[in-house]
Amino acid sequence: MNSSQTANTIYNIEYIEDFNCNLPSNSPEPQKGKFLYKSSVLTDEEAEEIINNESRCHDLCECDSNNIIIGELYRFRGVAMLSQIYNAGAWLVQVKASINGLKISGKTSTENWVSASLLNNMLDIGFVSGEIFFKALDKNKNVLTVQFLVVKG
Amino acid sequence: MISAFVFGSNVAALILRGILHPDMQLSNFGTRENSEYPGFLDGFFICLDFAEAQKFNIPDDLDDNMIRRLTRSLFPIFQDLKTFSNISYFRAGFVSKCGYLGRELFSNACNSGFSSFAFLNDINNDSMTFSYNPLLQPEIIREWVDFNVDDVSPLKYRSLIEYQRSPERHKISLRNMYYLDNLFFMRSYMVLSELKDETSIIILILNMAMSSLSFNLPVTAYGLFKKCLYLDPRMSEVRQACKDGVKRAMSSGKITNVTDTIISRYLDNDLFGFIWILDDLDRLIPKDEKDLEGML
Repeated sequence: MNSSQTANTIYNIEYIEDFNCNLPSNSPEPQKGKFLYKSSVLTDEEAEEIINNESRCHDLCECDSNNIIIGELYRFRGVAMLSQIYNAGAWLVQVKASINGLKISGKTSTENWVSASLLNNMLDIGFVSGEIFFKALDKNKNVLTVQFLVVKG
Repeated sequence: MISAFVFGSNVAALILRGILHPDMQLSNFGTRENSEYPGFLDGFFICLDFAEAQKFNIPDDLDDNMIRRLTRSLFPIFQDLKTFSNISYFRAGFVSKCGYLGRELFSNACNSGFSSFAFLNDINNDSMTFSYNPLLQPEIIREWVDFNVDDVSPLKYRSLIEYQRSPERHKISLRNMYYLDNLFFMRSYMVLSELKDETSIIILILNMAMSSLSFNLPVTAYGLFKKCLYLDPRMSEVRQACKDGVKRAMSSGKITNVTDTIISRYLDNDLFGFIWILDDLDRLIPKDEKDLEGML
């Protein structure tokens, strides 16, 4: 089915009144994908910069897992497993993912997630999906220890 | 302390009814006192926020995912109760009422780093890697759910002998009898500690030790026999039974220098906290003695 057929068969609308798509100059910016998690080492502006400036992060799906550079920033879009852990007297959220045979693991602070109830629901189902940005800290065999910077829903 | 114990017991009752509440913060619960026994053990438990609660079939729906979710549902409570002492009383109430399933859920929390060791400053918790994989036996849970465990109380049976002769104890199968005895012991301890009846508490601990030894929990048994001796029983037959018990527990081969050192350090702990440490030691599967030594 091409687009003209679609238009003929479905979009049979009688316009009642025309509308104006030109937003007034003082209207808010269209809402961007929200941070589900943002590391406390980043300001909002720094987080936005990491997300929007593609050259700053390597796309993990396009990388050879044997050539991960420690200290570099990476991103991937997908699903990460979430679990709550008790470590050194604090409750943390462990985030784990597996991309092309490479296992990624890091701990995050519960208070850096956008909402306690949303986090609770995600922990209950056991995963989060979205775009995930992190810094590679250490690699041992096929397990990459990372610092998660931003999880964007 | 009583309230943490009662709370644990009531959370267990919720799970035994097949209710999963994924956000069990203290603020989501309340109590209304039982008019028959005001302020004690079975105050009416009220769930103030039921919006997220889900029903599941117990034990048929208890797969790995449900065990994970049930274990995790306890974490907000641990966060709210905060202290080792509070959580140990919650654990006592929870495990005693929930039986086998309750003990398995608490052990499963070790996989998330939450064990008694996490609260003990002189134990190196990081050196230990727990790997606990519960292989639940549904028929044990089914029997427990169908059994009216609320009848097993020192309010009904005023002595250990009266309880041992009770029809309730003889109705339950051997695989659940340890948990039923444990329920009676823990509830009795709550009463005896309120009454400050130290002689009876010593006898109670001796019986808990004997029960643990029979149930193949040698570290727990060893620790409880040692605690009994530490409390300095005046009755010579009790002293002798404890000494014999220590020897029998040691013959299991599971009492190492490290476990003995840890047990000796915490002998003066409150009973429920001490039992939590002992149970974790019993559950611990170190790779070798060197792995265990890393804890000290």
